[in-house]
Amino acid sequence: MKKIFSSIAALMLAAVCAFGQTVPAVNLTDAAGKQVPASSLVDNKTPFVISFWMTSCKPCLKELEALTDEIIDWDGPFPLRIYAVSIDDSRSLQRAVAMSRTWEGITPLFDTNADLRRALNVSSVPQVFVYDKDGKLFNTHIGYRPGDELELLEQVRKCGKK
Amino acid sequence: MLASLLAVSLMMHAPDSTAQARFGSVTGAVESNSALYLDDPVLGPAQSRFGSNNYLKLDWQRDSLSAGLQAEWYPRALAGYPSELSGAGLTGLYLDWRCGLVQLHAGSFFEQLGSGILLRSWEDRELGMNNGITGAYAAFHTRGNGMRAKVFGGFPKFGVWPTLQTAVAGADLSLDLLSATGSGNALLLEGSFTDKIARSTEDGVAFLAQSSGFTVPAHVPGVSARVQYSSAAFSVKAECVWKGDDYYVEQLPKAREQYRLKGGNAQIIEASAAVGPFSGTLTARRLENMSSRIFHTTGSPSVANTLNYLPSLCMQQTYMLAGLNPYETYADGEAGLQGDLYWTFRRGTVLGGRYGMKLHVGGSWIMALPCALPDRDAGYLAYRDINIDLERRWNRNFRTVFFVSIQENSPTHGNRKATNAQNVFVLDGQYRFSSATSLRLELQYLYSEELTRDWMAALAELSFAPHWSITVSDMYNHGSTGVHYYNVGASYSLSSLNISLLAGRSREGMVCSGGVCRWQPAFAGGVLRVQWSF
Repeated sequence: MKKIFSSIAALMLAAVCAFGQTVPAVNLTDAAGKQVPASSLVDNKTPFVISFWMTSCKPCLKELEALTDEIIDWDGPFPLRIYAVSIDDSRSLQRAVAMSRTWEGITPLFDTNADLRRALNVSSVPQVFVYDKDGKLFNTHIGYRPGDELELLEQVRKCGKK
Repeated sequence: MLASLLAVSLMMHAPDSTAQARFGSVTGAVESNSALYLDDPVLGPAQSRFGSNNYLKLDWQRDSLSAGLQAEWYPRALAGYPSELSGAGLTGLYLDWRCGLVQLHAGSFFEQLGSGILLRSWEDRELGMNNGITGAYAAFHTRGNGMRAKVFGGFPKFGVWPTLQTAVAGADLSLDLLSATGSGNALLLEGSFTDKIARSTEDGVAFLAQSSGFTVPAHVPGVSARVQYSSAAFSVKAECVWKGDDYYVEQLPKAREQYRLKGGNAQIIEASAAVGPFSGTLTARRLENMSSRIFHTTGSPSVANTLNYLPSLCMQQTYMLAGLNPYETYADGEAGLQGDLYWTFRRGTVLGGRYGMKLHVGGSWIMALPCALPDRDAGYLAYRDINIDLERRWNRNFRTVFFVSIQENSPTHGNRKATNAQNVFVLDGQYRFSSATSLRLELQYLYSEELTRDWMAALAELSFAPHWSITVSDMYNHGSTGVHYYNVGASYSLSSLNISLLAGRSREGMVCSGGVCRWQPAFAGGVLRVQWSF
């Protein structure tokens, strides 16, 4: 089995060198409960950020708060689009909706059946994904340490110049 | 090997669009959790020396077609995980086709109907839980998602076995009556139907028939009806669930029990709203006999897995001492209320100061249903808590959180009046030395006159963004046992790679989620976790 794991992993590594990731074809829901195709986040004009979070993840909340602070000072050549995708299940979904209603500058979305989480292979949160204007993955990062938000915004700037 | 992984991970940012269009794209993830267990002067000799849980997931997508697999490998499962997690196996395999408004899916999948009380299949690696269904589904939606429908059927899985023998079939219909108006609001009418189909060859079914002459029903139907109105600032949702006669272990006085058939039902009302700087939620839930058990198929008459999700109606605690004795849903019968209020003090206001302040007050109150208890005239408090946290940023570099949690938990699920109470106080401060370096310090105290009485804990975390963090923590039970549970850890992140190492002594306790619990034995040693997605 070890050999099978290694072989499959090697195959995948080879494949990864050649192919890129696009936004998966799955649906999310918005705060009003409406279906939002993940592909609709692509506007072919500006890059965007997807940040996975949940109410019981303190680093996630700190990252979103830090991003909220930075949004105020954002002076990039394009509007900053940040989508906070909650992976809270029914235990804490309402809490996630309530918390997100006080945010400014961050659009909340909800991945209640973990479809986007599985499609992007998110095994722990927080994890952020930076996509370019055409919906191609530009950068990703797992975990949050104070200061990560500055690196993230730098990646968004680079992505916008691409 | 590690260098190759990192190099490849970085190279994924240079996609070849032509190749991708021709061959499709491949994504995946690898996760490995391995532990080395050591003898400990307090905990005694280690039961085993080594444990390792490993996962590989691969997905391929080209246009409307996608396929994927998941493999798991347990040379020896981590301590406390189900013994069925042994060896290696292909635990997921699927083919999916989407064309316009239609989706067809064959193989393994995860499904949730409504809140999940009727049916939820999901994976939680912390618990060793995976009840993914192997079968097929067909889904259809209209343009604008005014109507969505799905039918499915299959066999839930357990451990590294492909499936169990219990089958499940279901259908789901959702109508958004406001979809045509183009407003941002939604008025959803939804309904679901399921059928759990047990077979007489299952070990648990056969065991009950032989030992007590009890016949497990071949079919257990279930229905869920839901209505929801949502706007950007307000939502209210109600769900009623009904379950047909199912296997039920009736608790009788003097610790006796008997098997009998009993139906189940649940009712949930949830509301949330935001007005200015305030937002809040209120949830009321009552449930009776809503366990949905699946039996083993090889070697054990006990319950193997579950088919639904029964989360506790209380806050999921994140601080070490606040989560010491978690409450878990009493699926046989309970009723409760839970509410949360969030108040954001805006920047520039008197209380908010220059950088703003946040206050959260939440609580829950859960009573056992007398009909589900051995003493039918009982029905005392099962659980209640009040949680308050106040977060304030004092300047650009310093912020604090003050947290209080007052908890009262019945060890008999409300069959007796006696409860265990504990009060937890936490001061959490973070100071930023530079744009990349910061220190976080947690000081915690638990006051209790029951169980293991008083505890204290401290945690220090030094972070160097964007890659490194180092953590030191100690949990000390000075009220009873005098044992220290200390840990030292470090983690490293680069792109989609995360490696963490934790070493020390860990306390025993229940790890619970959604009606599923795993007993985590105490251990001393080190745990290495590697996660990488590509």
